[in-house]
Amino acid sequence: MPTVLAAPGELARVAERIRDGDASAEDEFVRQFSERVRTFVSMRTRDAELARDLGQEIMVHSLTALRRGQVRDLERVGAFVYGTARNILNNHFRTSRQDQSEELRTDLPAATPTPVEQFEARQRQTLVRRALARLDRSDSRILLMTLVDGSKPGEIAARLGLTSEVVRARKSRALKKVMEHVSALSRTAP
Amino acid sequence: MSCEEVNRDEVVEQYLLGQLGDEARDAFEQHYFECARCFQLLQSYQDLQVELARSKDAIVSTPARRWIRKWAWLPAAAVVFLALRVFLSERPGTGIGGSPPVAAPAPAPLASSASQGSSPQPAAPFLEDLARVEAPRYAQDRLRGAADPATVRFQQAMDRYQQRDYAGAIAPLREASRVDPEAPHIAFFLGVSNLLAGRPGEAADALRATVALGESPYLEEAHFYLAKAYVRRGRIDEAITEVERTIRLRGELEAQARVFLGQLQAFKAVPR
Repeated sequence: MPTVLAAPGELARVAERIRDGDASAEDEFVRQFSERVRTFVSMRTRDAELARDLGQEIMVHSLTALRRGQVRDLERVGAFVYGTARNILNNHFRTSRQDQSEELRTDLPAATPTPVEQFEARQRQTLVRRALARLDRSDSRILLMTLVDGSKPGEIAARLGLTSEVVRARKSRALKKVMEHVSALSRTAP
Repeated sequence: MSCEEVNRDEVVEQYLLGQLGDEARDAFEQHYFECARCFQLLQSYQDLQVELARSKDAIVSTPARRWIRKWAWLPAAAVVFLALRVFLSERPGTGIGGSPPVAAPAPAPLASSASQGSSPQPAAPFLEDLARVEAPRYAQDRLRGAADPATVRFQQAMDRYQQRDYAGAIAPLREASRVDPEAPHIAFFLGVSNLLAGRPGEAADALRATVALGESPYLEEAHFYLAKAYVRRGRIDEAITEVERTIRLRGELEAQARVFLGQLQAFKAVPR
């Protein structure tokens, strides 16, 4: 089963349990936020290894603050984790490789992808591959030029001999189709 | 930042490509830390980006088979044309190449041909065929994540829609539309639900609103279903215009729209 991401109300309850000393809630917290944190860091740094290292640090700081009851608005625990992530990333850029190993604990759940997360990532990739295989080749090409090459509709239109309007429409439809297909398949996947 | 802004402004795509300004980037990041739905969308886009990059050579080296799609409508159109020809040749005074009608019949009603007198009235069921609508598929999101009020109402409506309770879907869709009048998916399914519930006037209003919102994944379908709504109201010229707009978008409905256009033009050509 893919990880089900929780709504803010549920996250607030998880945060309350951490504050109250429930160790099992920490696993749930890590499960909910570790991928977001890694995504955030890797998008900012384009460095997967750094995303794992800083991800660990961000999760530790966030959990420590929650345990100590330092998070005032538990309904917005996501915003708190994001703020922590930004601060730590900015610190990293400022200090560049400062040794903070003393602040890290090793008994906390790892921020690196767990086997379950790795399995889910492979499963998602398979679903996307299947969805992509169902697209018209020219639609795949439009997506490729958009999401990989970073081309604008006007540039794509000029290369494919279409109008910008047609490129925008086909891109939009193709994305919708892929997302719908992935969504439909992931509901039926074993 | 709201989920609607994320969808409307192609934020995920720009984020992945590093094209967002600092302020928009920060706003989106904070949003996906709090919104399960948008984070899952971001993951799907990332997966798609990876898969596209991985299969780049295959995509680029395989020629697009546009000509197949371009003419895919032709066999169906030929069948329709032949059927129409046979059908009209059996109708007094209206056959293709036959003698001109003595007097033009009254406009064909949509629902029944019973009141059209003693002569055969095949045009009415033909128009019914043109007005027939199949419900567009809706793939429900699997996420449990936080949803804004419009999305909550939309999901309630789409639960009914998936159970084919189109009339029951209309009220929550209207409420969702009031909360978020700029959401194309809400406007589109409001239009379609009205159409499927036999309310072509309201359907046309909502589908025109969908079109007026500009480019969206629903634009092509909105034109197509708007044509259907016009057919139901007997407004064939406006239906033809909408079908032509569907064709110009050169999307998945192109072949179907070309056949439909041929049918509408044939219908219009028959004196009544």
